[in-house]
Amino acid sequence: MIYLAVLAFGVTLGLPIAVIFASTAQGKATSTALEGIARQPEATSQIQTAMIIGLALIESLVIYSLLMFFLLMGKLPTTVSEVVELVKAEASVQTHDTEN
Amino acid sequence: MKIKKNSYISLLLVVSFFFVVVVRPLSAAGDSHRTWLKPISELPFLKGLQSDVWHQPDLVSNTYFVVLILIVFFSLVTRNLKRLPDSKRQTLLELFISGIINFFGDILGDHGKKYVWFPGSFFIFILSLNYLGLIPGLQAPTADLNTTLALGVTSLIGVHIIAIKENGVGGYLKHFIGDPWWLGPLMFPLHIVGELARAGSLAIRLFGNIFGEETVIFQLTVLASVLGLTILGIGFPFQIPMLFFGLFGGFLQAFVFSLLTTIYIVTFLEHGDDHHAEAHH
Repeated sequence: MIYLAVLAFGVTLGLPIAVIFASTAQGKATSTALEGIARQPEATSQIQTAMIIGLALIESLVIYSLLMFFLLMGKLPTTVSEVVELVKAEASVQTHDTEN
Repeated sequence: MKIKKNSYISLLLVVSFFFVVVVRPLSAAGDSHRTWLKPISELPFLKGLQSDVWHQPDLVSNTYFVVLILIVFFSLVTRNLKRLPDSKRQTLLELFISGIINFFGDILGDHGKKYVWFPGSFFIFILSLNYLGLIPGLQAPTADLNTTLALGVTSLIGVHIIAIKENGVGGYLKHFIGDPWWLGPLMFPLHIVGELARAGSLAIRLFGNIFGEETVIFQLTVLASVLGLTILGIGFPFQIPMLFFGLFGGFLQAFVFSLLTTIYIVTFLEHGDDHHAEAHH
């Protein structure tokens, strides 16, 4: 039961936390790049290229988190009978322990 | 060619209903998402390669379909090239190819300009692979981790072969040891793991982006057809904005992959071209 609860928390909270920090970082990178372009418009294409590389590198960390989400999502039970089986298995393990 | 405005709208409606009416039955039959190249994947020597891990049993057929299309397209387009181009086809092609050469060549510098077609061909190939997913009835082969891992490993091996060619085996190994030679035993495994991490991150970045886009498009198509058919009685294409985002995202991911490959090549070119292109402006 606790396993299922913690698994559900892990699946749902992992990606949004990554997104919060990644979006802050990407906002900072973009704003600095725009300041640079405003200061020197003739360097626009180079600044733009460097900004795109930076954004893609930050975004790839979020994509790793998305990959973990897909992998964990496969481990969630999809039907009620699976959940019932898991709860029954845990209950039988607990009664077995208390008997000994 | 002038087309009247009304026929744009009717063409859009026809295409979108085709997406909803044809693509969903093709993909909703069971859990595996088949494409129109299914008869090719069912051939005896290809049947063992079907795997449903990322819902792409027709992966190999789609990839070789793209290779065939690229070969046919580029051999048709490069017929009868003249020194001074006077056909629209040749001008456009020269624009495209010279854009790639100038862009990657600027980063590689003078000494690296001869390697410009290694990341350049990655760009064209990955761009076509990504765009295949936007055609109804076909899937993007890069939405499968196998393809992107293969591309990442190829990029890694290519960069290291170029590094050995440029620096010799001694200089190549010296690059791994780092600047203070007495930190060598510490830096050597770190650099090796760093190189593997570069290949892995290239692969996972491309896979995550394209698989995510394709999943979103698929779920929106299912939502559109279920909502539409039960409530309105006819399907409505909700997934069309995501297809436009797929155009942008596919281009960006191909661009970032080849750009990072270029940068990894540059880190191995020790000649330190200080006269970059900017200084000549």
